[in-house]
Amino acid sequence: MLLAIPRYALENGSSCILCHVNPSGGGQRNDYGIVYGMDDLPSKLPNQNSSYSGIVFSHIQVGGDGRIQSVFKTEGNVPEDLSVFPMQADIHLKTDIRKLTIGATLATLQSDLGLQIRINQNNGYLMVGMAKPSFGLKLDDHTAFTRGGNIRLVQGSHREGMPFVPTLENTEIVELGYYMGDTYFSLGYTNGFMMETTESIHGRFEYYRSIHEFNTMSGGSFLVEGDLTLIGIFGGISRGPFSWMGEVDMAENLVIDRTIASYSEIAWQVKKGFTVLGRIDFFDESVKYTEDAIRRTTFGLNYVPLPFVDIKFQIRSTQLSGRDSLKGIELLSQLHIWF
Amino acid sequence: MGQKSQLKNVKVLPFKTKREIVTFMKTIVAPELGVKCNFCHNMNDYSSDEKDNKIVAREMMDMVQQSNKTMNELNFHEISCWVCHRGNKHPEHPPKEK
Repeated sequence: MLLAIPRYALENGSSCILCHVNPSGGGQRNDYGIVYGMDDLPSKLPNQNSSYSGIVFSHIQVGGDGRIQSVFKTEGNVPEDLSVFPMQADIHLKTDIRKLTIGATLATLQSDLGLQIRINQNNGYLMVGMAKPSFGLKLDDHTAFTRGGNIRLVQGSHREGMPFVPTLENTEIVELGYYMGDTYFSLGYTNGFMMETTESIHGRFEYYRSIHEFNTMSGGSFLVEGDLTLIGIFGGISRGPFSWMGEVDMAENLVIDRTIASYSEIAWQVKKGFTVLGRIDFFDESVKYTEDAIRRTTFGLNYVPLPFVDIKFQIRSTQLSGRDSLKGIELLSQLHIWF
Repeated sequence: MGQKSQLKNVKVLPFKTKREIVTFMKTIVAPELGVKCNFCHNMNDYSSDEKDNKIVAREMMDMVQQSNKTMNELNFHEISCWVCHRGNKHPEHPPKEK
């Protein structure tokens, strides 16, 4: 699953396409995204990199994303598990031929190839190829309950997260998109995303507005595949170094009846390259039952020491709804390198 | 590698790399006009000239460069968009129509 950091879009008061080749964000960065990653994110900019503007061979731009993560888990005071694993090793290629943008992404760990041919016309585009439909905020954390949630179930429910797990593969897709000032719409069709046997349709809109020193973002998205219906809204507001972002998603027939997931994050950029954040994720597998909801509280630090290097540290605790018992503490660290 | 940035459709700005152009747009043009990139650019293709605002912006930048040649000859400070625009898309006191 391509991952992005929508907080940056919010702080810039602009859609994801400001920095990414893919209009709905994630993956390869465009010229602006490369420069933004060099100048605006890291605490220190080495001089020798100062003229870097992406790897370009003739007319082909190359990019990449690599993530490695470690998770240390305790059950009460007892150390339970330490795991270190690679999450992502993607190579991106992009070229522009007149009104065409052709992009390819090879997710080497998943052996999954994405290929998009985008026909750009004025402020709109028609995209065909192999890709994942865009739903909600494409967070850089697939364990957020609005994405794929817990892979190893904490509570023993049927699910602990929405169905956007990292193992979902690209599928045949056709998508139309249009930019109207600060508003972005898209509508698409896939030949079966989650179930492979039933076609799906998806759509999203985003609206970005800057009011004095505030930047705001609001939007919504839907995805329908067979009996499964997903609807979500998201938004955020930022001013200077502070930002808040949130999302609420609802699914019909994901498990039994109605499922709800939410995400809320406050971030404070203490200084350039250092961001502290607090986050609450909530997931209720079935709104009919009160015993199956879980909440996860996260405190974290993002450190960008150099261009294209992002280090995350997080402490997370999970609690079951209506009970005092904690289901363990997780210490998470992640190294993300991109170019 | 990395240095061979391909500048497309750059006609007035004196820069040699994409990084220089992006930095100039981000730190000078956007804040001094109070606009975002999409005011002038097609977000699908930054090099495209299909937006009228980009054509006008190019003429404005040419005007500023010509003005700064004179300012340099007179040993005055160089000017930028801010002199007229003051953070607005359109100057509050545009020149009178001839």
